[in-house]
Amino acid sequence: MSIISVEHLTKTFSSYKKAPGIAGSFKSLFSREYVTKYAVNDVSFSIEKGELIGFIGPNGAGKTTTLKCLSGLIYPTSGKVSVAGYKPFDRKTQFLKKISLVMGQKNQLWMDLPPYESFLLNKEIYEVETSRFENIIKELTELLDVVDIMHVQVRKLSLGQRMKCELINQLIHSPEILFLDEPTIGLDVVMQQNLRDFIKEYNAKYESTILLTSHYMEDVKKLCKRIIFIDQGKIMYDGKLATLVQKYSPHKILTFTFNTPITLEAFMQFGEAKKIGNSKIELLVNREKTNHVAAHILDKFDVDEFTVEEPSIEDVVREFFTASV
Amino acid sequence: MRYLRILTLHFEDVLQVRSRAFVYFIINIINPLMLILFWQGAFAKQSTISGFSQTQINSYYLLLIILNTTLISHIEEKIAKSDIRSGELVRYLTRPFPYLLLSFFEELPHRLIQGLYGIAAYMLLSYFIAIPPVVISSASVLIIILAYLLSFIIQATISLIAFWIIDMNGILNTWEVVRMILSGMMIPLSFLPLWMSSIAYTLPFAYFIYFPAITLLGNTTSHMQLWIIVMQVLWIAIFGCTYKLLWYFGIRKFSGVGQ
Amino acid sequence: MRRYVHIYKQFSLIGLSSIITYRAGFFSHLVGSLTWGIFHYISIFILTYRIQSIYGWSKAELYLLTGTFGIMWGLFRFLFVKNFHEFSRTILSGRLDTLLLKPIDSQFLMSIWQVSYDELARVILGIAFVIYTTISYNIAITFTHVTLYVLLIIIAIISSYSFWFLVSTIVMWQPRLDNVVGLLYTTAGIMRYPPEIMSRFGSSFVLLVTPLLFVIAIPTRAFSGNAAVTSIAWFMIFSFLLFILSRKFWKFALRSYTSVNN
Repeated sequence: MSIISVEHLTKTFSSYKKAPGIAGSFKSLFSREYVTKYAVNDVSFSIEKGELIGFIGPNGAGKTTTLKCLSGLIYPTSGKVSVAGYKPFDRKTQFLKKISLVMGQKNQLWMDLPPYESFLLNKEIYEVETSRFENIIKELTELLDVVDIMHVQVRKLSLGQRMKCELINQLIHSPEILFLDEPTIGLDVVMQQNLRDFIKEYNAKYESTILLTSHYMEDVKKLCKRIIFIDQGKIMYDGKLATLVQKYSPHKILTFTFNTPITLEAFMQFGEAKKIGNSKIELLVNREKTNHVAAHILDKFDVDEFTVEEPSIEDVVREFFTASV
Repeated sequence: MRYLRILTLHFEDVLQVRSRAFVYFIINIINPLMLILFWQGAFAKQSTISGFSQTQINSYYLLLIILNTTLISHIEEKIAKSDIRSGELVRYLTRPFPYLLLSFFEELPHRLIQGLYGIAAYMLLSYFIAIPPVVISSASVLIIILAYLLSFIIQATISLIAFWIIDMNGILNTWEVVRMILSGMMIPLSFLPLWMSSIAYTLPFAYFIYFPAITLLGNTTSHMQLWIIVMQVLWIAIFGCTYKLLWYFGIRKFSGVGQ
Repeated sequence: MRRYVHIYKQFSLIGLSSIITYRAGFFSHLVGSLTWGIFHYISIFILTYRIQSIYGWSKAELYLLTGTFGIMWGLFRFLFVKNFHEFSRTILSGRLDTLLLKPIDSQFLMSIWQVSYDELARVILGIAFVIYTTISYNIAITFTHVTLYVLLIIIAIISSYSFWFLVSTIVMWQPRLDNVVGLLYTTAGIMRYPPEIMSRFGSSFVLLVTPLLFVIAIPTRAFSGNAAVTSIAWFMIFSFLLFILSRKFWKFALRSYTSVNN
């Protein structure tokens, strides 16, 4: 039995267009032209308990809309959604106590108060027992290394510290399902790494199901075995990260190091070529032609070293996005 | 002409927020209507109050709908809150155009549109409520134009206090209350106790609501009209100078802090 | 229920802490609410300066009406004003998302998360004015009347709250209409007048369109022992229904909530 199941989920929004200029303004006084946009279009997937899934796609692809449907914030236009056995939009108390949605760009902490005060509020809201609350706070603050700032005004904290406190604030009730929307956005590299480690540890320790969206491929690469790739409201790919690369990159990268200096022009015919140093070349070659090209070069040139690599996920995704736009 | 261009741009903005403008307008007609109803009760017992007949009092409050919407400037929201306090002013300082004049053009479409609503409401309501015709003369037109200029320059001047005081809410609220009572928005000033009305006649507030209103009602002699115009010009001059002075010191403080 | 009390307590404490952080802002708001409070007393003074009674309400009764308005309105604002003020911003900024995810009633959270202590100044002014009027105009009061008065003020708050909430909910569809709240505050001003000023429109019209006119008048009448039992009963039923309606409408509005795109 999956903990999250989504069948044929569709969500549309309508907005109105305004023609430019004063004439357009006058016109919009009387009649407005409405446009329907599919934010999510017939999406289906299911997630098992304890999975840590990466939800990726370009801006406006429908990631956040899907997360909002899953957490019961917005009412789906059509389709069936079940999370932990509940229909999210009913927003049953029991359901809401099982989930948590953390949004990187939105902070729920009270800016003028120390984070601890906000935690206390959530303690009351989620009905967490005092002893349990104290244990969780102790554990999480130590894990995230924020013990010292519990009584400092949130306004005075750094972005990373705020994000850590925000995470704790959302974990006070030990949610079974955690939706993380861009948790590392705007943070420096070290802080991103810290948060990643924490998410991984949390997932392993509490067996919570985590659904993560991120712009940073590094997040997804380090954390998620499975990814769901969404674009223009549709699922383009759902499966192992490694398979995505094989499936969607039409190229492989061949690197040759030669014993003698070479010219770039000599390799242009095989594919996209890049010269590194005097005697090294990197070739982006069509998947099917790899063997043929490699054999040809090994035969014709004085090769010292030779490797075949899959392109990085970043490249695959970038290629994917530029192709689909 | 660039003035016209700036004006049309702001018109577009106003039309875009049609619903907001309409709600503001409703606010401006509820109070006068309630007061018309209130005084109806008083006229059940007497035929005149302080020289006003029932039809004149009706007319006074209906005129207030137009005057409140057109002549009461709300520029303080922009100057004090959005420009000075949140630092938007910087954008204007780099433009080759006086800030006061720009604010004036930004405000004018709002007043004109609200005024159109006001005139429409006035015409509609005058079907139901008996009122004498309005007296429009060159003097009354001049008094109204001066009234708007006065109201604008006063509000603009008050807004500049934001250079020195962070939270203007207290001051603006107090100011609004004083203005409401002493400008005649609540009640014709001749209804007030004598000591209060003589204060009101001296201060500037009466010159942008009460005196324009009674001039339109035909309750002023030409001698009085001249006196009203002189007082309006005098107050515009006083506030114009105060504005310049406050601006001079305020802008130094503003750029000094480097907001 | 106890949980809600705990949560409310937490919010009130947070409110107190932010007064300490923003002393200047608190003081400025205090001046503002005092000014408006005083304005209402000045305006009833100047409105009644040249008349003795109006629509069957004597000067003293009109003063009581204003004082009662001060008490009720001050309490209403103390509890809700900031929350209604931020209503549309809460929706537009996406903060509603976070409220909806909490396992407690979203209408409750939407209505009470901020407390405006400065508004208590109006309540104090109102009580002082009612006491002053009672003494200087020799109004006879009994314990029962005062108890009923307090109870009816509470009901007045409930009905006003429900009405405010109903209207504010419209913002869900038209977020830029946030100045409906401003409209409501002006509408609130009509509570200060005797309901009879609407009598020329016929009583059924009055009942339907301007129920708010009675919100202050009924407690005031009860204070001096002039309230009819039927009007008190009607008032209670009306408030209850309005409250239920506000809840239903909020639930309905949430269906079309689209959340905010980041």
